Amino acid sequence: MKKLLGLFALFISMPVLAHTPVCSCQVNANKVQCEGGFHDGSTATETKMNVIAYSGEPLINGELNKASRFSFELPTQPFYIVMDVGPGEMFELDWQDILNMKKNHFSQSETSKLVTLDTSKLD
Amino acid sequence: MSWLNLTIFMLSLLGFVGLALAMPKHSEAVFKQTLTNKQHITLRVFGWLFLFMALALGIAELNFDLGTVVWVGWLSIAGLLLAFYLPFGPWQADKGQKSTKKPLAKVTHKGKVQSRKSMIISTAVVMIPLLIFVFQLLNTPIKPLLRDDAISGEIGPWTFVIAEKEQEAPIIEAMDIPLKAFVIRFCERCDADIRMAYLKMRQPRSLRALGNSFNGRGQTKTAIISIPAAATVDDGLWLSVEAKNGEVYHQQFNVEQLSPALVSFIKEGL
Repeated sequence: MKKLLGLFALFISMPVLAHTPVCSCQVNANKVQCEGGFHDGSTATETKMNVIAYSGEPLINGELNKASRFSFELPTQPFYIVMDVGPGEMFELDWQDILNMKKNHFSQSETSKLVTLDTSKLD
Repeated sequence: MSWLNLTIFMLSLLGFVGLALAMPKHSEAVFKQTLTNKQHITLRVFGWLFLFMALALGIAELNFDLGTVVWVGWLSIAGLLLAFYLPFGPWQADKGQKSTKKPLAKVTHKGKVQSRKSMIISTAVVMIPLLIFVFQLLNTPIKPLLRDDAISGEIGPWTFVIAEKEQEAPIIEAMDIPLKAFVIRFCERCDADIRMAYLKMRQPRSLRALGNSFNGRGQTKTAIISIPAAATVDDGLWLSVEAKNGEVYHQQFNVEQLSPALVSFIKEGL
């Protein structure tokens, strides 16, 4: 009977839905305030948040607090934020994607210092 | 799609006709002569061959899961059509005449009405599931990787097919972040060498931010990626594949080619 129920459960079980991380940031005065979570509305407390300069230099390492929020001083150079949920799951937010951020906040020359990966392996 | 369904149906029907004619009862009625044992075997072999051809065609064009379901569906229709046609075929005329000469029992008017009723009921019982099958078949979307817009390519030493999961604009759920799903399938031998494949909008800046990984059971994997607020069509979609030996390969896709719906979404303004 148990085997039969197990087989039945196998047929009615639904595939597990992906848990996609989402994050939204806005700038107020000189402070960037972010809220992270998952696409289903659930929170992502204690998730690692990394602020990285375009040069690759790590600027700030922190994590989402109990309210699933994270804030930091606005860096003086172009940067991006990586919400690192685990292997293969992340959310990247460029400074240009931050709400209330002026498009020309960083000078064009600084923005163009985009560090890209080793192109020798690019197809 | 329609030619494929028609071909699977015709092959299934031919297969069943072959198998039916391989039975002495039906072959005598149709050919008006007794076939040899060898001829019966030949018909049986051809019957099975056509059925397997229909199955092979279904699997080749629609993959194993959908292919077998479509095959079984058309098999049922072909089998039922033949089963219903055989008793009324022109070769049954002689039998009909014989039976009128020597009726087995007196058929009353009430009996005729009852038999007509049961005929209507049995026809409905057969036809309703068939109609449901045809309706489902017509409404089943083509798998993303089998659509014309799927892109076949090569990254590093591996071949792959990639496509957007739904030909629609990204969905917006929590925090007003637009999310879009893509599917990929690498060649069978490739999976053994690949640790992970990632997709993201915009060129990856570092190995720690390659995007979201493709996951899922079976060979077809899905990745759900976010569309950045300031994204442009020129940013492109970037596929990164990490080999088990540590090498990482990257490839940019033209958003217009991979997802016209995403282009419209970006151009309309997020």
